[in-house]
Amino acid sequence: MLRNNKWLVSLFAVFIIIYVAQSLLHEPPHATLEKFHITATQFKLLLLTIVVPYILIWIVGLFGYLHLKSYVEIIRGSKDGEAFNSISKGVLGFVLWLPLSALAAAFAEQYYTAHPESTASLIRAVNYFNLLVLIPAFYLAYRGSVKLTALVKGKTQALPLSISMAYIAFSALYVMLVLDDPAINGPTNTATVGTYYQPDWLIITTIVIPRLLMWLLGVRAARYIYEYSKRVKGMLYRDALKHLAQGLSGILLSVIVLRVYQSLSSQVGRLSLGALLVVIYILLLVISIGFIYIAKGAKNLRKLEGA
Amino acid sequence: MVKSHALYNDITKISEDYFGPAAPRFVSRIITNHLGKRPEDVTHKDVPELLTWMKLTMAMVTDKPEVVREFAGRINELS
Repeated sequence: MLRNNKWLVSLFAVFIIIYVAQSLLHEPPHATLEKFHITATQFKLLLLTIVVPYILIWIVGLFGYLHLKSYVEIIRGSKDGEAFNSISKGVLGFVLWLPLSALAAAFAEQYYTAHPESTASLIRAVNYFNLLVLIPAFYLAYRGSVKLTALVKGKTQALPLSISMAYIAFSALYVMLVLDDPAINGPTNTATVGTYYQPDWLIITTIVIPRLLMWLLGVRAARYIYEYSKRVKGMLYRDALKHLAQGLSGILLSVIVLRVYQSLSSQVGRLSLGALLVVIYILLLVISIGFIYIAKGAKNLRKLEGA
Repeated sequence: MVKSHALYNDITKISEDYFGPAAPRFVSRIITNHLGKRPEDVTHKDVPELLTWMKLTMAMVTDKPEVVREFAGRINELS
């Protein structure tokens, strides 16, 4: 499996080396050291306790994708092959987004710490970059899930009313959270940089609405795969598929939680170092769950094919 | 020949209840790799050996022995 995907494995090795080097070589901001009363070495050691688990999540995600890709190669040409091919490309998007978003944020931070006048432009660029990577990933996963439901008898139900209503309520709350963020356009006492640096109308039309639509595609994709796993024949096949649906739901949840966390950066900035670390570890745990389930589901699907 | 083809279809149909869309590939793979035959050439005499391989493969996929037993019982009725 690794031999057939040398380029991707090598790419991840490069990402890991750059990320570790960037984390260890980058001088920690004085404001952060003073705020938490720690030395630069202590800061770097603490950073390692976050960087190492985060890199492990990248590796789990990569293995999950490779298992899924290998399964797609086995079933290529079959009815469900095309659907899973699209889903696996979506998963590749999520897997690539992990290191790409981390590296983009880290390099942007490094640059604007040295050149504060570029802070706003870089924050904006990172926000749009995240969208550009995630929108195709969500769309491909959704397209694949639609193709899967076309393979089973009966009309696929749209989202149940309860989920639709919950999503509308969540969307309204999320818009409120974004606009209510004290750091929306600049640093505060507790946030070292702003979150968007743009007028409200531009944030809503070019960032928030695309995010909400993209997440809706994710909700529908997870729902469709779950529906398919309930209606398709084969109890062992269904079990493996459920893990895949849970994995996609987990990824979706982690993407949403990270965005909500971004909007709460000012409030989170008030936390003590211990509490902040707990919040970060919980976030890491949430991110890892989705990728672990994808890996588990894909591995079981491969086993069904004798691989 | 027609009868054998019908047997292959019966085995696949039962397997579909466990392996879903993967069933035709599962049955064909075991017949080809372990019995050294073309799937449509399988005969009633082959069922016991086929079943041994099927149970082995299935046990690697599930940790529910009752599912393997139920599947084996249904395939056994075809021999």
